[in-house]
Amino acid sequence: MVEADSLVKRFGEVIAVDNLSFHIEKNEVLGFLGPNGAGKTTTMRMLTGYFTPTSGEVHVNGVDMVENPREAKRFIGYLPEHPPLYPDMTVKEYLRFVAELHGVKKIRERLDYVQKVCSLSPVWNRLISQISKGFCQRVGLAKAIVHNPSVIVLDEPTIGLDPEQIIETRNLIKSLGEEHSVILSTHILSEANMTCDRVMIINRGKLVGEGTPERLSEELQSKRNIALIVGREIDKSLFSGIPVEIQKQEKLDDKFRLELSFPAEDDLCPELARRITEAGISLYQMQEKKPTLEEIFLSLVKEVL
Amino acid sequence: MRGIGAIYRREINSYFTSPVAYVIITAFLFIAGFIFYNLLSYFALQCIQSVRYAQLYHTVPPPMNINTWVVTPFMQNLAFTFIIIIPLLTMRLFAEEKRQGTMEMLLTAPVSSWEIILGKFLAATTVFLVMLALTFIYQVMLIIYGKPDIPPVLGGYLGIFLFGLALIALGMFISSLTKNQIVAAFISIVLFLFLWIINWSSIFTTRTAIQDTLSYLSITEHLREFIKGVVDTKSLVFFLSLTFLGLFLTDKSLQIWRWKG
Repeated sequence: MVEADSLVKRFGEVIAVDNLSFHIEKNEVLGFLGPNGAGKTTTMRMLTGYFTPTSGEVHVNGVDMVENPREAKRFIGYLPEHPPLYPDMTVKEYLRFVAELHGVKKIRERLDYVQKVCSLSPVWNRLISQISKGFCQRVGLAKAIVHNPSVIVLDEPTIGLDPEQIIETRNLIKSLGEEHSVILSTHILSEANMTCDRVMIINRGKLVGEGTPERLSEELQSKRNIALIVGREIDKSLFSGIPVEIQKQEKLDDKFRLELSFPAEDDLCPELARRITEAGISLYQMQEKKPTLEEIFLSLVKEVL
Repeated sequence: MRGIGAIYRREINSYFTSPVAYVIITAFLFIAGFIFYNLLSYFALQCIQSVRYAQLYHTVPPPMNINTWVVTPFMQNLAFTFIIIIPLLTMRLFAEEKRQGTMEMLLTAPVSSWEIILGKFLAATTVFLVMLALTFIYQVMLIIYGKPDIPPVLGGYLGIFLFGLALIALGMFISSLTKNQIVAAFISIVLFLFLWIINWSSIFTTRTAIQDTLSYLSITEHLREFIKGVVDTKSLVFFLSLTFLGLFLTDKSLQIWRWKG
């Protein structure tokens, strides 16, 4: 569906995207994962024809974005990071305008469709300047799908939404992925885990990791970290014979907080719990510490070096 | 072509659903009406006085020409008013899109930048034409109650129309350079004023090449031809090429935007 070949984008001295190549299959949800400033937005802007790449090529359905932008852009539905809305229009007027701009034939039908899919009925005839941030984001999504594009590009689609809206949006993206190809960017690992079939990790404009979310997190998590809250101080000898390391131990009022780590391939949690309780120590809490994106990045960058 | 229509309709809606167009048109008509009323009153006063003098000295009253006294100065003042008014119409065209982030949606839509530019240009031109057409009522009054020479009236309107097209295109270009509407309006006004007075300095040089260039660049001189009722190809080409220059530069400005962001 989309082929990007050695994309480079420079802004003066700064290289925002450095020789990035990738492709998206039909009905695939691809996630761009990376910290702020990694080049995700710039890459998406080149895919959608907003920025001209310094070098490299983008093909959408075989059509070159630089040589034939008018044709190539028809296949793409794009939701930028800040939904590009006109505050002085109503939701309906705005979506009609977008549909006209994309040359949609059966405008009324498509408007009814996006109104239903994005649950826009409550604000359909309201001015965009008067609707909430959550609805703005949904209008933005509706804008991206109103012309039934084959590729949907979403730049941080859940940013600024409340938890309920985030879940709704993720479900919507998943269902869109059944009929369209979707590219989305995020800096939240769990989000990529939930919605994407394949993830590309980008840092400083370069691809640093690629694969299914499961494979990536397996690869990245060679160790599991567990945080415990227990009744009294624990000695290392309690864990003799199993490969557990005590990373940290600190006093919390009358309890103790412990951080342990062990290799990811063995599930030692039940064993740990058993040993602690058998030693007569009360166990208040046991929690797995998921690595944050920062930690994954650090480990990835270390691997590269 | 599809894009031009969609963008034109959106722009027109945006002018007329917000107070923008009404405020500007009202302000403009107030100024234009004030100019016309004063010119006409002054002309009437002069007529009465010349008849009185003629009676007093038992002579024939001198001929009073309504074109010289009302039509020509009205056209010139009208054009000058547009130097201030047109930047107010064009300032938002691209600056607003850049500020609210909708530029990203226009430039990723399957329309060419020329469709965007022409849609916006035609919308601003429509509002301008509404203003210009409303002042034609004054000319109709002159034709009903007096005998003005018609070609200068029509020539003047054609001249001001072409002059307006050029200012709209240039104003749109300036709007495409910034995110700030006020800056866009201010720079446009300064540029238009400069084009209005550019030939003033020609009296300080005796080099005819410089004099000719300055007077060719002066919008005032070209407008004067039209207001005389003379449709000169040179002036026609001048205004049309200025318009095209504005549109062309806007297109380049959008391309630079795609490169630099």
